[in-house]
Amino acid sequence: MNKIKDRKVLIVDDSKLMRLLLKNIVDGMKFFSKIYEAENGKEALDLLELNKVDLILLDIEMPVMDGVEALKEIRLKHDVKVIIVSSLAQLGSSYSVKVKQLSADGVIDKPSGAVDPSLAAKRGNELRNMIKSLFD
Amino acid sequence: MDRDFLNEIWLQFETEAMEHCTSSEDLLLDANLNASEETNIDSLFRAFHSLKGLFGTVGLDQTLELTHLVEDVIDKIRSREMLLNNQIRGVLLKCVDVLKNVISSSSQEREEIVDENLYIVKQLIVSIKTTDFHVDDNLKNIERKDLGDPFSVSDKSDRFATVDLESLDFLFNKAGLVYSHVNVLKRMTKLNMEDAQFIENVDKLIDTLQTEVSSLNQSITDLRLVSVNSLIRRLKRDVFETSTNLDKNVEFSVTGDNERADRTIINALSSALMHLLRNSVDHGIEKNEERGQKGNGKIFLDFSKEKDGLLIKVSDDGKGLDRKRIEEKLRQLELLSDDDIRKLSDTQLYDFIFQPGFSTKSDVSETSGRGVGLDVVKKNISSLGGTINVVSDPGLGTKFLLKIPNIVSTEDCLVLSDLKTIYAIPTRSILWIRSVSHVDFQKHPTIRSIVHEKNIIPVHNAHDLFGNLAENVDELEEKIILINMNEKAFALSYKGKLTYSEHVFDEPDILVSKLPFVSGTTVDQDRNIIFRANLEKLFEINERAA
Repeated sequence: MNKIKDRKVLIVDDSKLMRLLLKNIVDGMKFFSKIYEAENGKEALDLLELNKVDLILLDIEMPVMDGVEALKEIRLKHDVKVIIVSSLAQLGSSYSVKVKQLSADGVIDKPSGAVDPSLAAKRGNELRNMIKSLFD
Repeated sequence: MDRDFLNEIWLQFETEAMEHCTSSEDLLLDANLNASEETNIDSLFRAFHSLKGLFGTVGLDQTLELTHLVEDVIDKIRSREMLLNNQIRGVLLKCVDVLKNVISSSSQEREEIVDENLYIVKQLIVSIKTTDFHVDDNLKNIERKDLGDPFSVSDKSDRFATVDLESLDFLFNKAGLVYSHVNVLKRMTKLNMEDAQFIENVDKLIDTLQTEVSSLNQSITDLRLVSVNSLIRRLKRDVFETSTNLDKNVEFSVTGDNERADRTIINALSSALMHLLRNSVDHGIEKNEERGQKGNGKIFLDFSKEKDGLLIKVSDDGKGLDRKRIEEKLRQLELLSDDDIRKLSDTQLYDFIFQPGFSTKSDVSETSGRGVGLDVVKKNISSLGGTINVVSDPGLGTKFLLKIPNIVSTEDCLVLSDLKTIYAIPTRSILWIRSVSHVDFQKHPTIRSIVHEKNIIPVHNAHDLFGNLAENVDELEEKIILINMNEKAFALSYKGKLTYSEHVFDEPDILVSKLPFVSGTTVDQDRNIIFRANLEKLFEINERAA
């Protein structure tokens, strides 16, 4: 297992709101030394050319290059764990099947619910547990 | 979790959600949006899908539910199970209004909006999906409930920074002041002739300063300019709603929407343009059955740059103005004799539609009527320092031409009210005002004169030049006013009331322009006509005498 100071994560989502929320959840774990952000699949791939990351939180629906396309490329070129964070990734949707075929390390629904001070705690636990289990 | 982060989350939510709302609105108002334009329908679907996601993310579950219903409808249109007509467009636009209201409200208000409107819109959406869809009744229902002014929602995605108008005005005035100070300095150096080298250097410095300051002035002026584009969405929406209400098929297109004008003008223009466009839909464009072969009605709005301002054209391809009906109306109003009416050219006759109380439609229509006519539009435009004209070809259409200055220039004026007509002199051209007892007159055999910058300036009597009215002003002391502009000077003596006030002047009309010393007209609060003194003409008096 990597030491905390070396671990890096990349958040890929076209919504800045979602990136803010995910960043907040991940930040609270004190698990990563660096958090990168990208707005779409293309930006993510460009960033991966220059930077080594250990985990990618990947949205599916994005302009320019969506998550499915990006995942295909990532699997060809990079050795990295990928968690799909998308409302389309629910069980039964055709996307979910595709994503499984492309062997994502984890699939999780987007965090949602009331915005209040306990937000990160309530929403983030499932994602945090999933991240921890991937690195154990 | 800290407050700042929560605020940031809400702000980000508002920004993103508003962006999706405005892009949906734009797509819905796009005349080409139909099942054959799949990319646009797809974009619309994606916008609502993203909205759904955003509402879920912040836990606005009821709003999410509404968005989900709309998404379903769009999906049906996309798969061609359903045809997108104007009525469905109208319903979807109302949905966007409600969503905008929800997004821009505080958390307490949100509950209320959801209670009041969400239910109605939901019913509408549900009814669209059922086969026995009577949108008319449902739309009436929603209008009675009143969703509030959809345009009161501020556009967060506006590309222009919001700047406090007060501080802008301050900068604007400040720059003007600096500019005039530099001019004073320049004049002063001309008087000091002791050291030529020194003066030359100072002169150079001042020239540089002047350029700098004038560029500062320009950039501040530019800051006040806003793209007319900010008006377009609401105008498109208005045309859409008016034509749907009147059951007319209208295609509305806008060109030159990147032109810019002063904020004050943009704000004031919106109601005038809205009125003109409603007028075009209502009175210009014929009913569908009357148009027949001509097909959909076409309305154009065009902005273009003109010297010192903006030229706006509002045109339609409707039936044109009806000369006979205007003549009839004129006879009814007994404004002119039959003979005079017949003698009027088309242009002169058409100009009467801007008269108060002039509406050729016997039944004042709900849509464009609303108890006000084109006279109000004209008044609006004049108050901006602009002009409005109409040209019309029977059977081909009507075109309104608006000329608007880029900047409303209110002038600070010295007002001389004890004259036959009130005259105003821009204060920036006035060097001083003194009582006669404090003025050193030149000893001159025939004409009373003063000395200014080594020049002898004759004193002219304002009452002689502009016409006398003063009767009870004997007890008032006579004042000498020294006007100075572009190195020229003119001295005026005046006995009567003097006040300062700000005015926006119109170009003098044909009658007034024949008067010798008038360069503009305006009306004050008490409906008195005020003439702006034509300073160039005053200076000519001295030049002719010299």
